[in-house]
Amino acid sequence: MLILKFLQTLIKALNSDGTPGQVGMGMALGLCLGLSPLMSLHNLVVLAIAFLTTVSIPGFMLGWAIAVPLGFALDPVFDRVGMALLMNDGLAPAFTWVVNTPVVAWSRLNNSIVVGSLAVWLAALLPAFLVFRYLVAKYRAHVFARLERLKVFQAIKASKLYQMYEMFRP
Amino acid sequence: MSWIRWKALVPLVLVLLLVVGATILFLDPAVRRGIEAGGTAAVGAKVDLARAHVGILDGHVTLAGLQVTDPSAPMTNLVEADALVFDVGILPALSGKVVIDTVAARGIRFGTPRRTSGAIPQPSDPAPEEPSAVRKVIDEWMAQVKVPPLSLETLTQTVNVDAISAESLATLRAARAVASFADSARDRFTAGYRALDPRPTIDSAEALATRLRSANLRTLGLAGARQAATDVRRTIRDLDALDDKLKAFERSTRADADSIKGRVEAVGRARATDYAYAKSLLRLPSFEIPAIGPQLFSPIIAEKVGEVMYWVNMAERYVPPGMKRSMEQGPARVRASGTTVRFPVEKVYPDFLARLAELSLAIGGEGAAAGEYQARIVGLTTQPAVYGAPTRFLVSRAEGKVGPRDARITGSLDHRGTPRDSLTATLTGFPLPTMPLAGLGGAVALGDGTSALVVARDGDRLGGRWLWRSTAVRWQRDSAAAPRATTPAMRLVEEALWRAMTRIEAVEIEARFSGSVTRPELAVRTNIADAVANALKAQLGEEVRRAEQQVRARVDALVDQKAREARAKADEVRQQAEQRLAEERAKLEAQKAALEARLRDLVRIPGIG
Repeated sequence: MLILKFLQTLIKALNSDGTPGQVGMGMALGLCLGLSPLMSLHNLVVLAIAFLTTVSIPGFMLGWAIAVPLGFALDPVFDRVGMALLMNDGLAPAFTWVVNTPVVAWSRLNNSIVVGSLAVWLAALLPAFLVFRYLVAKYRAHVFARLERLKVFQAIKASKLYQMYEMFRP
Repeated sequence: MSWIRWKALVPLVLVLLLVVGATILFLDPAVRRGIEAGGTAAVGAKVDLARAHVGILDGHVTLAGLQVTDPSAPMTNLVEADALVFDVGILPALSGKVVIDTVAARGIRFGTPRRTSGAIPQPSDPAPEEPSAVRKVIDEWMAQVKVPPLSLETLTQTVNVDAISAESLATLRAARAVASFADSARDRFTAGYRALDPRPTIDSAEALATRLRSANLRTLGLAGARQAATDVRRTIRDLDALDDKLKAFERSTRADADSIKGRVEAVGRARATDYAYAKSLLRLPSFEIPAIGPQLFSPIIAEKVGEVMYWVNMAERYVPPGMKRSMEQGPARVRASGTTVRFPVEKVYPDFLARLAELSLAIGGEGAAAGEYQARIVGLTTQPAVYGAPTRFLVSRAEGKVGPRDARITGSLDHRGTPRDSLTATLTGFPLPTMPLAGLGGAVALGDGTSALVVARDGDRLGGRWLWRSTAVRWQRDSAAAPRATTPAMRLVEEALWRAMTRIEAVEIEARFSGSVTRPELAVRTNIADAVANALKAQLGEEVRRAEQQVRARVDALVDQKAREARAKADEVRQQAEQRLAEERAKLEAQKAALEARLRDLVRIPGIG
């Protein structure tokens, strides 16, 4: 069931009416939710940006889905990156401000996994956007026409989830 | 094309409002269930909370009807509280900090009965139990305090002096060090003497003195006499310079000689160490009163002091000193926890602060501890350097149920910089522990008495004193255990010890601990030690003395020859050096005197002086 939903999201994201740029940015933003611990304040901000701007929502979901296993696998890397940042004396005033400022303190950016994953995601945001945009454009030009003729593809496209997706389509 | 998705704005705002509304609506039951679930997991038995109320706007948190089950007695509450009221700061909470202005606790009782069992289902195949955190700290601390228990077994056995190995004796090591140092001192002397090379200067002076011995104005002539005076003066200068060098060399040689002397003396001292070491191998009991206290009570007292060490560790862990970054494990979640780093800064709220907590406690039942207590804690915080003041606490007994009993515990934790902690606890009229008598197969039940604990910590240094005093002790002999005395002689000794101890009615045991947590020192003083020492002396004095003599003889046999050789070598090197230098200086002085006398004759000649 989960795999089916994932396929549905994948197909809709890649074939939506959104431009490859909108899908690519959606996917790049979605990576954040998968890479960093879900219950983080910055994820709320990313979620709000995704829903309030015209980036592709299925693309956002797809990026999230792709990044979840990646996030678990990369936790040791995030921990190291995070500890390097937290132990950097030059950044200490910034972290001191973060942990002592109302509401901002809830971001838990003084945790190695949270700050490490956020830093890695921020560093990967632009390259990920460019790569995803390129791949979506290539896909639409070469694969989509052949896929559209498949019955499975048409069935998924006709489902309720697709109709819901239409509400948020750019 | 617009970048904003306006049609999603309204649903998002609605979802947000829904979340806020649900939080307000379900916060109280969620807090109640959270405390029950968290408490149950922590205690290992049911924790019940009748009601919880969180006032989001005014910061009042009220917990009512708290019952914490005693895990070892599921029908009894470990602690029960009618009401706990916290006045929590709203602004610090927005920074994720807990600042409690006041805590008021009402109706705290201990050991109350439960209506239903507070046991929680145990897994059918429980994992092997790991030692608790308290146990680990106590075990680590006890491993540092090693005092062998009083043992009478060896007294009736043949003393096996062959167990003393020559290689383990300090005297042999010291003797080898002396010999080696003497060799290198001799090499240094030889090299230094060769570099100094006094012979040519002395020989040349001798030759000049010989040449001028029978010379006069007639044989030398005026010019020759003037030249001779010049030569004599130059040679005397050379002799003076050589004399200075010899004196300097003598000083350095004397330093080596002194060092050799010091090392030879160390060989003598090492022998005393070896006697003690060899004696300890045979585990002969000491008749010295200061040594008997630790032997009798060290295991039990180390255990009790270890508990104090646990709380010192906890204070260090949860109240870290200074303004340095501190680290702790991140929150438990599906993803890795990571490490959370604290960044303390002055003039802000600490992560946790309870400014004032006033608690009224009651211990139920009819036992000695039953009664009303009051506790007051000021400035309890996890970041004392941020808060800027020490934590102070006071627990006192307001009213006792039975007898004239008094309890008072005061203390402070000052971790603003170097940790400075203090604790003073005095319990009077309370039941004291039963102290096992290590190695004697019995125990002394102290009954009701006074327990006074004083702990002071300044940085790494830790000092303290724990005193137990009782005037109504009971002596309990372990009759169920296998008989300890295996020979008639041992039985006699044990009986004599018991007779001596059971005559004591008032007991005072004082443990003093000092040093640091990692290198502790424990001293135990007790009046029982006097009785034990006297009884041991009366029964075993002669036998122990004989065994000690055997031990000393064995040590002497093992080390005497080597020590003698080392001393002889050291003496030989020192004497050789001193003798050679003395000879050279004597020759130098003689030549110098002869030349000076000749010079005096020469300068009398007109035209030369």
